[in-house]
Amino acid sequence: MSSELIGVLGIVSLFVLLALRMYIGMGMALLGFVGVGYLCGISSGTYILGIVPMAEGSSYTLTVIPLFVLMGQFAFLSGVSRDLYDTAYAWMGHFRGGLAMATILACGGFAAICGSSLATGATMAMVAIPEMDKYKYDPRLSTGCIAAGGTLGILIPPSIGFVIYGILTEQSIGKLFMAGFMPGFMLGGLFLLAIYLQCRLNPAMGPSGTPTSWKTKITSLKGTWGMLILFLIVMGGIYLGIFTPTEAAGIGAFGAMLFALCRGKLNLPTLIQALLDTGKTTAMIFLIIIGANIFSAFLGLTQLPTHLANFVAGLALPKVLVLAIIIVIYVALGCVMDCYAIMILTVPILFPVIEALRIDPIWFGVLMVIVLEVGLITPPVGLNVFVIKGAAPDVPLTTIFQGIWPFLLAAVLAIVLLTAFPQIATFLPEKMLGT
Amino acid sequence: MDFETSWRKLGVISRMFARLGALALFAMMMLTTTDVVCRYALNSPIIGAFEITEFLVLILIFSFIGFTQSQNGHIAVDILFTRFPKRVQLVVGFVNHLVCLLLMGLIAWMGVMTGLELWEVGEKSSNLHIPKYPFAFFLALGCVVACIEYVRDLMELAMSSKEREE
Repeated sequence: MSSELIGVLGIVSLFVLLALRMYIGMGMALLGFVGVGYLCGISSGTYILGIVPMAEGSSYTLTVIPLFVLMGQFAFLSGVSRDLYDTAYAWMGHFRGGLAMATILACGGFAAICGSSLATGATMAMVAIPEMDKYKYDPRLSTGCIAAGGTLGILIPPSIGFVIYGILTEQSIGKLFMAGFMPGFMLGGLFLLAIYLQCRLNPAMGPSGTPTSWKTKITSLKGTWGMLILFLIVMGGIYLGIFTPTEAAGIGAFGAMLFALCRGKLNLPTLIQALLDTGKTTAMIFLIIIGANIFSAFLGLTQLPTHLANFVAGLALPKVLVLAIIIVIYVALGCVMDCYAIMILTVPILFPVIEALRIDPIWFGVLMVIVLEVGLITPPVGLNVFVIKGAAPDVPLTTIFQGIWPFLLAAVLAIVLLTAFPQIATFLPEKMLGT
Repeated sequence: MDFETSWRKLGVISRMFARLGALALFAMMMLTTTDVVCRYALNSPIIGAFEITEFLVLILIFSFIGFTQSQNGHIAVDILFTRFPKRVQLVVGFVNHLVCLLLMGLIAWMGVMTGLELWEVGEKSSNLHIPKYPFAFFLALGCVVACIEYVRDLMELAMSSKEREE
């Protein structure tokens, strides 16, 4: 049996194991161990099992993950989402569909201090759904806009998605963050447009709220400036090269903790809860990273990724076609799997193809994150959707999914625009001073 | 106290380790912040902050893998599995956890081996000269905690299949 064939067999067995509900990290570790053991002898297999967990478990670059997750947890704890929503509402509420628009803006704002889509969606759902119910918003619009707005969490920096992509592909996390900025704004804008058009076609979907005075508009900014400063320190520091992403994450977490403390939301039990939740997420991500590294060691031995890359490059297909195929694969995987797991699982196999085709890895990272976001809100496993279902138990899942369609179209449009004008993503990272 | 309840009580171990991990995480945040502040405000970075962070992240992760298992926090793909008949789910779940137990046990064993090797060589961190072997042993310990959780899951599965038969 040729070694490439063994590699293919390994990937197929992995999918079989995953379908049988094997834990993703452990499944990859198992097949990596068996594969290396088969190709190079059992002692090489056990050697890999000894060396990879120790190396990945004590990697300085990887510490950026728990620290950014912790920052998001503190932001979640601080209850700033309420103020963000009130601010956005004061400015947008009187428009038709204005509450839904305010939700998108508040989601975007929360995403700027939180790197997780689920946390963004969950916190906004609790604040915004009761308000929209009060103004008799169509549940399709109210739940759909939160599902969509939540996905901004992993596109607008800081973003756990970019951190993981950066680590897997050895790209600069700072550059990825900067690259996510403008596409994040663009996607948010397209979401607003989707709301505007829906309410234009069917005004009953989102009646306008009561107008607010300029004074209210200005004073509403009071609750949110602290968060804005935190965001500027973290992102500005990375952009100007004052500190590394890991340091930025540490400072961001500390700042978010102070922020929560000042707002009177931090005490010993909530602090411990935030730390425990962060630890859980971290262990979950790291076990997959460890498993993926063991699996990659095996795939590397089979030389399958290199051969696949050379094969695809040799076909001389148009890049757009290859990208389209990759996007279809991701959307399909996104229908059944968590987005971080997909990333860690596929990047070691697909990234050599991207490199061989000379596609800008930073730009591809942004594209991948948007595509994975689409996965977060598509049935049947749209995780964001289930979070919202938790906050609005009366709304049937089918209604939520119906409400998501216009936003999915907006996301598709964003992908098309990003492909047509790659500068949307690559402009800022080229200008930054840090690395 | 019978056998079943004593196994249930063992969950306290992973909870204890999680507290330790939470402490490591908090320390990591404080250390990074202090380091940056000292570097810019006082012009004197903390020596070895880098290495301590690496040790802390190791403690963090391996303190939490058992706890995460006990909270059902490690992800797996449910979509197909939930459509299998209940009986098949139980059997496959049992085999999965058994395989995980063996593999995690092997990783723990390799951690001990790595620890012994580091001890013999006397490898230390470059600035603070902290010996590295205790951390390999800690890794092994964390994996053992995860093994305990796999055993607890196996007991649960065995019991629920017994209940079904009754």
